[in-house]
Amino acid sequence: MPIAASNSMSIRFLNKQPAVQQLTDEELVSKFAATQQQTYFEELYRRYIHLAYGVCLKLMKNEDDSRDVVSDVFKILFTKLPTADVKSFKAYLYTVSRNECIAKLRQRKSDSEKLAKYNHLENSPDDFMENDGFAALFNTNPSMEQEVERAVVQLGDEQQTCIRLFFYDDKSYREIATETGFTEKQVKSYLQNGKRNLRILLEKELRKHTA
Amino acid sequence: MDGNLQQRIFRPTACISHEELRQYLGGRMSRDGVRRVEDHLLDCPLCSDAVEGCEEAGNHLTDDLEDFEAFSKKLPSQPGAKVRQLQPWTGYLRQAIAVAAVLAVGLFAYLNFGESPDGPALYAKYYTAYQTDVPVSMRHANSPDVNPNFAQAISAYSDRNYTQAAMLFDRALMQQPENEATLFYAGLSYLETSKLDKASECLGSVAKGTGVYAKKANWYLVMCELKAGKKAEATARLDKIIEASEIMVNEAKSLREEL
Repeated sequence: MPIAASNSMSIRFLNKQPAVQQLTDEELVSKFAATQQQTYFEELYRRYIHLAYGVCLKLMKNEDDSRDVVSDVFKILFTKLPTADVKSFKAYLYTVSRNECIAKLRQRKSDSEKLAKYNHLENSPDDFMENDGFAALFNTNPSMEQEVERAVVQLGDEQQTCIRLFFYDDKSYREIATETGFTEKQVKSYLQNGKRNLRILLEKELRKHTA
Repeated sequence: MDGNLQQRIFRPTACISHEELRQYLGGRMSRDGVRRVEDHLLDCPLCSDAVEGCEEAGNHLTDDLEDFEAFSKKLPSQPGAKVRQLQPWTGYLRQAIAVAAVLAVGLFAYLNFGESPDGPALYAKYYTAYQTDVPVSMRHANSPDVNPNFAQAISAYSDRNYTQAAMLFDRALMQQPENEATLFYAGLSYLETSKLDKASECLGSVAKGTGVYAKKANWYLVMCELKAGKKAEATARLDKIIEASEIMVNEAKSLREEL
């Protein structure tokens, strides 16, 4: 056993591990923390580098700065992941990326205008929707269909229009923008807010069903 | 109106891959692909901000991002990691000796005992705790209109307090004996606390259904059987998982080989 433990090649040879591509983010984090093998971290890097870079680009507004920050972000992750209590990797990555951008902007006086816009983001809660569990709760409440329709009707006009065109008629942001005269950004915003409101309304209904 | 509208609105979607981002920004994506991406952007601030960042930079593509091989050279040494710089020939020699030694031990064990690793050992190797996916807003018991047992149980499960979670899920099941989410998490909590009969009962009920947790429950039933040392049952179930090709297939194949 000590011989095997001292030689990762022989371990891999004898114990065929599940492919890293098949593991969830949280499994990769957990296995990286347990073994400190770079393979697990590499898979997380491959899955998310482009997204972390895009987030940095949104805040830094500069490609070179974004490259530097995203590199720092993954160095931080590499060091911290083994001991961090990570419940959702992507939420953790999102927070680290935003905070690193803000820290970088803070170092430069010339970026104070940009920074003022982003100060509120630091340590603010992430708004990731966790649909898995919500869908599961629906599963045991098939009669919710009518409640969904009732909830949609309670939304404001813009949100309701966008929700109907997107989820009922399968239209894209661009098609909805063309049809309604809203900009694509407005369409996305109405959909995000509409879906969030819909969820709040339906959670209340679900609680009544499960109480 | 679609009969499954509520599930379509709240269906879980995966993050956008690098290739999908390229296609979406480049306007080269199929209509279905665009709908999938845009559906996901509503739920995921990471992907939403990433797309907006690239769009605001003039549909900037991310093709020239550093690959991991180049990036890994900048990494600090891992705290607690054993970093060994092997010399080419002595390194290979040591590896060869180690591999030969392990093979010899393995061959000796095989000839003398002829058994695969035991169930609990395989359980320890393959088991990964399931991360809760129940919305955060439904984990707070203080709210007067939440089923307190379910909310407290999910909260305890999230905190990895599985003994308390199992007890609370049990109470929730008295009120809603067929609730899939409650049965699934109760099964996982019993599995963690080694109450394997109860775990098997709860997960078995979920696996028989067609809900979103049914396939996941099947995998955790395998874990349950391994932990109980029931290798034959685990093997039979793995065969079904592999044949159905639905979930955890690669892990199932790998585990099947070891069994």
